[in-house]
Amino acid sequence: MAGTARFCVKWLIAVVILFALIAVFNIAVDPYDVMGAPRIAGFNQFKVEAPYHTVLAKLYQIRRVQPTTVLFGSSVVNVGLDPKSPLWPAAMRPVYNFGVPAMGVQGNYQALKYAAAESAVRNAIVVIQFETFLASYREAMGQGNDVPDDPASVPRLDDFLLPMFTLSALKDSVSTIVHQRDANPIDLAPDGAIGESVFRDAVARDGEGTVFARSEDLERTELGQFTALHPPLSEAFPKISYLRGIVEFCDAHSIALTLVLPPAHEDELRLIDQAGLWNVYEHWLRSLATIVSGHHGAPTPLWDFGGYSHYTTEPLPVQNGGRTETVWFWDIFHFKRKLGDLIMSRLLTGQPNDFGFLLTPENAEIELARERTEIDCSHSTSAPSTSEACQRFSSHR
Amino acid sequence: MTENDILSDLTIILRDLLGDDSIMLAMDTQREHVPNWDSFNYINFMVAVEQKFRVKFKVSDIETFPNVGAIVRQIAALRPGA
Amino acid sequence: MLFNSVPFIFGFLPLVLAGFYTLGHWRRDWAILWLILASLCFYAWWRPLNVLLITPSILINYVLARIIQHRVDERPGIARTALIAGIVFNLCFLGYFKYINFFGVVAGDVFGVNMVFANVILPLGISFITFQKIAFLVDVHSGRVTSFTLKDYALFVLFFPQLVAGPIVHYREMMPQFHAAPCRFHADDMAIGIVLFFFGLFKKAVLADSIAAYVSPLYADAAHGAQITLFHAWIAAIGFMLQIYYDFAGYSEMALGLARFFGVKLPVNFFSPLKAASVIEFWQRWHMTLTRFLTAYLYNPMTLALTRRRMARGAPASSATSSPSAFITLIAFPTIVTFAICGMWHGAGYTYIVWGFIHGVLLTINQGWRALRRAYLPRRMVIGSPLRFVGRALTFLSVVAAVVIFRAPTVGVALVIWKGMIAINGATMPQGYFDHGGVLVWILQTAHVRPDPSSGMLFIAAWLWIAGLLAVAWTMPNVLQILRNYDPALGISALAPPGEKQNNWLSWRPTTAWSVSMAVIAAAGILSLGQLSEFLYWQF
Repeated sequence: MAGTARFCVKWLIAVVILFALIAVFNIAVDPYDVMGAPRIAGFNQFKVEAPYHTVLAKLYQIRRVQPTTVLFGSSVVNVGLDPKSPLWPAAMRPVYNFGVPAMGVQGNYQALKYAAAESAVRNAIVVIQFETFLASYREAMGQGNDVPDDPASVPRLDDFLLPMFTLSALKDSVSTIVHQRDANPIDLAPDGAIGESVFRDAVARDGEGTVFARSEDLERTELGQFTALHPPLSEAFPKISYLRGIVEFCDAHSIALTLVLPPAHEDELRLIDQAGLWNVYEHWLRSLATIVSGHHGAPTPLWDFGGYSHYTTEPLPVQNGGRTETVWFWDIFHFKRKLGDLIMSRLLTGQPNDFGFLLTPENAEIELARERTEIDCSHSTSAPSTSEACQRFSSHR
Repeated sequence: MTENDILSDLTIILRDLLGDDSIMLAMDTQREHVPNWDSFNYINFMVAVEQKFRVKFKVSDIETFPNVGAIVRQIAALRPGA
Repeated sequence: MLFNSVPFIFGFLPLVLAGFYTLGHWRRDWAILWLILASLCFYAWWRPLNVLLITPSILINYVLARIIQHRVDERPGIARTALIAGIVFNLCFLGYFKYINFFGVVAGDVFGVNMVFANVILPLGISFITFQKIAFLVDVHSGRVTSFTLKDYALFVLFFPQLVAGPIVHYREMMPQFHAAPCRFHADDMAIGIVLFFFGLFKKAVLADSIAAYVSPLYADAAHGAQITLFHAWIAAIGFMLQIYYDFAGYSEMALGLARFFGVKLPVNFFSPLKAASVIEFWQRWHMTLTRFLTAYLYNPMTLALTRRRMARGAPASSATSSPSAFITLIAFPTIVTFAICGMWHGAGYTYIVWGFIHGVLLTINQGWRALRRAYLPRRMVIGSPLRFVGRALTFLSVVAAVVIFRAPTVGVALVIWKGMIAINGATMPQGYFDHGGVLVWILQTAHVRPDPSSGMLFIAAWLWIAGLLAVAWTMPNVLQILRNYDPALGISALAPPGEKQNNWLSWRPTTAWSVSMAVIAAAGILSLGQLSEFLYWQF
């Protein structure tokens, strides 16, 4: 039949042209900030879709930034700590924020290795959270969302082919352009921070009360999974060895390491107690203090901003519609930038000196006793023997 | 019995089976051309034909008759006598 | 290797075709050998060990076929024995690999015996290959295939386009085409192959995989004990029906297209089954070669034997629907048994057998209805459009309800979803809709619809996909109709369903408009092959 040969040729040419156009478009928009395409206002400045591929984006962002200081942790770090803060001294810049949602200590360890391989990292700040150490905690690894074990394997061919040649990447490119006009565009900044717009968005849509309630539900679920698993105390934190690994790695590579226990709303401790896991929490704190007390000499600074302070005890918001009531927290885990700045200030300048302290095996016991009393006070109705103690401790609220 | 006689008998059997008096069969009619003559009715048809003409088809033949004419010819070949 | 994968489309396929056309330019035999070799590699890709399993099976079948061929005339007894031995061997081969683990499960359930077999892995396409080999032996025995070589037979069994998901091809349909094929590049075949293959790829990679994303979580939730409510249950049922529809349509078309690249036409296997106005018609449009095989080699012999036996015992002649006992013995029993076996063929598990059984019952009811209609309604009544519409609706609902247990991992999960479909688990809708207030909330509350924590956006997206995919399945012509002037498959001319206007408004010709359209379709399909895994949970 006539024309079939021409059909085949035209088809092939059309396919090649289409592929080329799509590739060029995807490279130009660069929805996951992998290619390093220039950010153009109104076009692709805000990487709206990158947070769904956080690790992929960060693998390549950090290579471009070449940071001296890297912040590690979960989304708490991603949202709350500002790598562009004027508090950072010149010697510590550039700063890169390697917080990844749901990342736990194993992921942090791999991210640390990766960062050190890609850049001359001199300082590392690792923010660690109780829930991510639990034996039941799944770091959502193995979903293509992992930092590769071998830093030398990056750059990887798939990291470029997939953002260029998939329908989902094309959709994400279009979505990126469309969402540039949003009131609160979400953005994975070149320095790795995602900023607070995701929470501003959620609060505007659902109200601060609902956002808090969701985080409470999440915590209950996480703790419930651990309770269901019911491991003996000695097997409660199988991944704590990665924390040791982090300490030893920094030691071996002359990286100044600072560990941070972030402030969390007091509700978190109440939920831990309610789940019957207070002894697990105590065991964790003690284990941490032991690890950092330094077997090779100088102890690693472990700053404890958790527990009860006037920041962590602000009143919970009621479930209403949209108006922000809370000052320091977006939900029970995520502190606002305001509080993040105070943390950095304390770490870098020592002020305010009544916020956070260096945890050692000795003062860990004191701190645990304090927290225990706080918990008892906050929901005891009687016990005259504790009421005096409660009055003493209520002075900082 | 001529082939045409066989053909008319087949037509009667099929009309009866499908409840449709408008069916007309010719030697080159194919099963697909007759509405409702599906594989279920087909086997019933073949068995009714076997009874009527007192013949026995091979299963593999039933599968591969290309049209009604082939059935007619096979019946004529299988019938004892003339 | 799947057809819908990058290594296949950009690696294996171009390489094999290039070799085939080049060698065919010199000597046909070399091209055929190359194709056999390529098919073996395709087979080995899944698991190299499989080649060591399939090769003896091919050789044994070949030897038995030779025995049958040479003995069938003078020594029919030996030929018959060889035939039976071959059928038994093939069924045991299939039975062992496919069903041994299930057999252990059943033994455990029935006898309380704990039998664990080392995890037996299924060689590729064994269900299809087994049926093809059985049909071949029967064909040789009945004289419909008279000459064949080992090379021919090997190609027939291993030809990779039909290996993964059919169609079940008869030797006499395929090999004469290979004997006549020029084995060279032919623009017609390439063009039609492109249309078939990339339409198929689009259906599988874009359409089926998209609705699957909404369907799979529902079955997973049900398996974890969640109560699936009304609207979600229907998403699970209709959604999966559409998923398997476009999956199978896609694979069938890809198979046709691939074979066409080699100059061979395979039989049609899928022809807009959701347009069927009865369950009987459904099975004449869905997995047509399977229906053909089961009818010819299982249903017909069974029914014939039963009918003859009935008559030998003096039962009155005339049709199988003349009396209830005739109906049960001659229609209900063989139909249900055939389709229970059909169910088992699809998978080793209770759910598949139940699914097959359900279809057997549906078909029996259909037959009964037809018998009653013939008996009580005027003879010349033509099936008009309104009645056909009712038929389509009933058929659709029946097959959708049945497909739930095909997909559900256990009978229990299917029950959960079925209960959901008839509102026993109540009706819920995403919380987000209730937050908007207004008339909508009033309607929902009056209808006793409660809120649930699922995503409002995903809920709407699922229904939009379902609506779109149904619209296409119900109204658009299928690819074989679009290619009607170019003979895309064997057996299409026989498909002239009564009472349906031919979808003639869309027709392919080698124009520039079609090359661009096919390029877009091909690009969409290929671009859907790679997936960047998404991480959906950012709040912790």
